Amino acid sequence: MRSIRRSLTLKVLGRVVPLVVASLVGVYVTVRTLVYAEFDRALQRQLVVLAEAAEYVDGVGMDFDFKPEIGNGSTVGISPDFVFDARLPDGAALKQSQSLAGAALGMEGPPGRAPAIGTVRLPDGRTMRGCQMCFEPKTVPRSEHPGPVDHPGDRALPLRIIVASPTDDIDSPLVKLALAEALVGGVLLGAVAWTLLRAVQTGLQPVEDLSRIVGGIDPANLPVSAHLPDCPQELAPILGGVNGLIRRVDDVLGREKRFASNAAHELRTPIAEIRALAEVSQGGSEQEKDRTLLEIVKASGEMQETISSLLQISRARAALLRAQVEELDLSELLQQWCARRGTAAEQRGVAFVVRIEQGLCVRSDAVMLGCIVNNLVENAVCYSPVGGEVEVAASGVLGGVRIDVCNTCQGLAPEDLQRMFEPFWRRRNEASRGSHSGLGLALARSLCEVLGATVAAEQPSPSRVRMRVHVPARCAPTEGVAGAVPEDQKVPRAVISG
Amino acid sequence: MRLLVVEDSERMRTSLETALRRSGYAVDSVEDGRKGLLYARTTEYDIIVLDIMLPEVDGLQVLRHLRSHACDAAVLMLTARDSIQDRVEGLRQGADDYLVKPFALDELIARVGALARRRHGSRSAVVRVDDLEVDRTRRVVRRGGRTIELKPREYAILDYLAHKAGQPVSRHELEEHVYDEHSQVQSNAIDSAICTLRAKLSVGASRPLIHTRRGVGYVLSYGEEPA
Repeated sequence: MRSIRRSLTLKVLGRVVPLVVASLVGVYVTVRTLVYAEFDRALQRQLVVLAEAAEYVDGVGMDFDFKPEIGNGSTVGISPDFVFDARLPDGAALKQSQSLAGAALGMEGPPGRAPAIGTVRLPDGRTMRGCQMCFEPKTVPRSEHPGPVDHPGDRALPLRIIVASPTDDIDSPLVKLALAEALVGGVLLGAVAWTLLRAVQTGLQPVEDLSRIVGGIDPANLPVSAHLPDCPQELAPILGGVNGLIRRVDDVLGREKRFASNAAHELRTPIAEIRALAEVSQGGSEQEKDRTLLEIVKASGEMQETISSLLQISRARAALLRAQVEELDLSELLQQWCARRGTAAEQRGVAFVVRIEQGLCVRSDAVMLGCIVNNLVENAVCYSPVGGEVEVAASGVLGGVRIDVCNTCQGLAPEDLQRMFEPFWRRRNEASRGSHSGLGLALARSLCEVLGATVAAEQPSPSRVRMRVHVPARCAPTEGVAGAVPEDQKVPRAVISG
Repeated sequence: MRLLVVEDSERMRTSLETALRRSGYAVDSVEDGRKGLLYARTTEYDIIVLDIMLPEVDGLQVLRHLRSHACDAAVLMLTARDSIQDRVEGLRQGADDYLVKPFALDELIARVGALARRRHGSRSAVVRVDDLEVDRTRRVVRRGGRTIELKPREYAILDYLAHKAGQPVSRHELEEHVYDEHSQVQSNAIDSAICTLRAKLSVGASRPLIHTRRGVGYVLSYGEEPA
């Protein structure tokens, strides 16, 4: 598996090592260049000095007033072992260092008027760094040079002079410099690598800590949250995401646990009732037995209702329900649905107000929409206190229709709004009411998801709760999922009760 | 023995009432926690059968409230929740027993009987006073090996006296524990029932077992001279 630390270290080292090496090489090359430049300038100066020593004695010949037995007399900067070779155009030597023993110095390239630097080959095969130039010697009157000349002649001739010097004196320090740089470079690279490793290790410590914390989370025993002391800002989103995930998983597990517990409760209660009724009837009169049997039938019906609702919810969630979309006059349908519930509200002593805009049309599933609205309205009527009010309002909004079912409701906590769509959810201290199984809102939400609609609970005031449904103008069910349902698993629409 | 049933399901409540009355208990019943609290604080019940999921005030809150107000009635919790956490929570709050729905009524009645015995310091299902035997499991009364036929109310009075054998029991206490709120209790009902009991118990026996203590009530004991 790829290691961030190793990868990061290698990447940084891959960039740092060439930089260090390039820097050291650069230093060496610069020093060498500067040293050789100075050496070359010294050679050039020596060449000029030699050129100054050549002269043409007018009418007598060429003379070179320089002691060939001494190599020095030179300017500073070049080796005392330098050699020179001054030759006439015909190749005859005018004067040269004695060490050359008459042999000519060879240097590539034709000589120019300006001093040119190059490599000079000695007769014995050695090479030196040299400088050559071709020039016209100055002419002096015979009176100023009474002695003999080196090359008699009646006219001045151009001379080619080569000066060469061994580079041992500068190469040796340069080699030492190179060795020193290699040594320093090695130590420097080692120090850089160690520092880098430490820095990467220290820098990645929070990542390792986070990895250890997240890796140590026991799925069977989720912590409340993962905490990383001094969490760096780069890891804060990851930690936040992990904690969000923990909360979400915890929430889902809590919901599942509550669902299982509530489902067990809601199914066991009617079974317990039926069993108790049956046992009691054994010792009772015929009249009591008849009454008990009726109660048993009623309890069985309620249990069947609960199971049916549970099945609808699970099928809706598993995308086994498919909407039959058609053009609906929602205003007309809402009026019909509300008319059925209005009577029940009046019987309970609850005011029932309907405000529905005319001409509301959507393309959706009438049966599912009816089930949603009926569940919401029935719930509102059932849980409104006597003397309270239920208001059903519908209006056109951008992209669809908004249906509000609002009712009087005391003592609802804000956190209840999120949980009231959970199956079997009931407010604390509130037990079952008649045939209400606590599945109406859960079923409404599941069907909304099938239709691409949304339903949410709001609390416009402490004493009112509002269920807001947004029905899209065109039903947008999750076709991808629903389309994959095998034919034999599709649910007949008759099971959707409203 | 007087019981209070606090259960929100009408069917379950009615069934429990019927079954417990048939077993000789005086039973009051209410449908929510608030009424349950009110009844428990105004009447001295021997046993309270308490559902957990209740409207208004839930069963655990009722139990907590009762225990904090020194109510010593034995409490049998009923619930459809069977998680260990639920059971532990109920027992920690002071419940004496726990029964998960659905249950057999026979089991409920047996547990109620066990709680009643425990409440009155008896481990045996048969209480013996001299040659009198009150078999609570079978609801059979014998004296000197002879079975005595008693009406339910007579049995309830004798059973309560047997629970408190050797201790004086006032008429009011007997009324409280033998009659429920639906019973039409006449002023001399206890005296009349005691008289009948004495008559039935004295057949073929030489010693009276139910004695009257003037100004106090009745006591079931062996060898006490009638006052």
